[in-house]
Amino acid sequence: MAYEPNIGKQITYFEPPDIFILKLHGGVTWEEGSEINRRHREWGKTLDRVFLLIDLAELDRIDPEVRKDATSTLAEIPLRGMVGFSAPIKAKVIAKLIFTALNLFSNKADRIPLHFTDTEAEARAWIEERRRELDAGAAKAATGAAHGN
Amino acid sequence: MTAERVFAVGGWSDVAITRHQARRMAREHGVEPRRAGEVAIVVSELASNIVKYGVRGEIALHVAAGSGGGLALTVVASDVGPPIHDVAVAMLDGHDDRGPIDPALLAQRGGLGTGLGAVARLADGLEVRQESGGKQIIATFFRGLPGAA
Amino acid sequence: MATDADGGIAIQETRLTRLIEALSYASIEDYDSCLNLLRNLGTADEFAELETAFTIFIEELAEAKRQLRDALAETEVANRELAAKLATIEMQQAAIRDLSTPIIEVWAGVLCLPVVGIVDSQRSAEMTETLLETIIAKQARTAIVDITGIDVMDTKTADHFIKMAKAVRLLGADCIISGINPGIAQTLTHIGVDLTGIRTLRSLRDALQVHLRETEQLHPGRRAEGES
Repeated sequence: MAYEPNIGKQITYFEPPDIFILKLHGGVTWEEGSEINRRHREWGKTLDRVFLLIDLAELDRIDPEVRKDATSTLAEIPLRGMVGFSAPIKAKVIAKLIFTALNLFSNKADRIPLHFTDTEAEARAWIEERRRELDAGAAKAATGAAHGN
Repeated sequence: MTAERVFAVGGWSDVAITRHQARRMAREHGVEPRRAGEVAIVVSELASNIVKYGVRGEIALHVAAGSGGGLALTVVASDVGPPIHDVAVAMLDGHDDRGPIDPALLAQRGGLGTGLGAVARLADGLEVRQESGGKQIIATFFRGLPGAA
Repeated sequence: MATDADGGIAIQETRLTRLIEALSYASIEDYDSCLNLLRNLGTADEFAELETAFTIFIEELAEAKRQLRDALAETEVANRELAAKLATIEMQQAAIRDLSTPIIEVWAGVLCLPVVGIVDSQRSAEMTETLLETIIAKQARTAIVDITGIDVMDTKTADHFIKMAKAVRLLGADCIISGINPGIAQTLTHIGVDLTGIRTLRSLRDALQVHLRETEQLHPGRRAEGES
């Protein structure tokens, strides 16, 4: 999993145990986007769950072909949540559009939560909450107790 | 109703193309077939001379309304080659610009030594302009053209 | 924006109007005006997110259309260049057809020289040289020169043409000229040429037929295959 984190203007790397870090800058081109997606697909194969932590402060646009490729990529990995931070309104809208498209292709029960925070610390705290929820759910399932949601 | 076309003349295929286009252009302007054929012969003789003696040059075909009201067609053959030593002698059939051509050498030279003579016979006007850089031969047609008196 | 009890939301009419106006601009391809309206957002609420989504798509639409127009312009230029090249090829093809005069051996010992296009002194000289050489090389006994397509020649060129026919005779071969049209006939009369020994026929077909018939008469049963 050791890759040089920089892909063009973008940065992505894996943070154990289960986070894909993404820092987006300017316009994400097809060359950059397809490589990011390719790595995410590869990393996702070996993991049980993945969270996406995205620094959206500098994002300006994502090319349509990249958005499409991202939707199919995210569907292939065991994504359990995505959180974006420091997002200006346009970056927030772009992320929401991709994510909504992704969720449209899955069942209601499998809906992946999307969240936005102001700071990275808040974003990480949210991921920690999701982890606890999932661990608790798995534990309850293991002990056979019913878990209403 | 004015029209002009210019053809570069460097080799024998240019001669063939130019005489064809000259006939076509004359026909397009209503010149009847035999006269158009004479225009083509004049163009062909002048273009051949460019290739044989003029190094390289061009043939300009110009169609306009003549002073008498009918059509006037002008052929201007310009080249960058050496000047005609004696125009009057060159016009004589079987002569080049220095004097009579030895019949034995005629085959080597190509042609019949009658090119300029043909131009004089078929065109209505003929003018030779010589400068240090090259020469221009101007043949004009108005007899047998549409609208001629 | 406030959500009321039924889950509906209240939007200021001005904001809706502005959005519709922006989209109207887009509908008539005035993307600049459209984006100007869309980009001046007040509150960053959910409706603003909707407006922003439109901005993203209108920007991409404008860009795509620009690229399309550029590509079309390039194609048009390429097409014009192609058309010019095709015109050149067409001109060359027409010219090539008469650039060299092919001599066809229609059957053993019989040569046919079809002349097309424009005959100037240069062509006449070349034609003569080639024909006489070929008569010798093929030991031809008949040369048929067809000038059906030729409607005019300079007097000296025509004169040389007849001299070519006479040279053919001097080589011991028959010379038939077919396809002399009124214009050429006039020219030949005008120069007072003597056509003794040179046969003239109306068309190439006539010339071939006559030759065939005469060969048949001379050598019945044998179709002019040649002496060997």
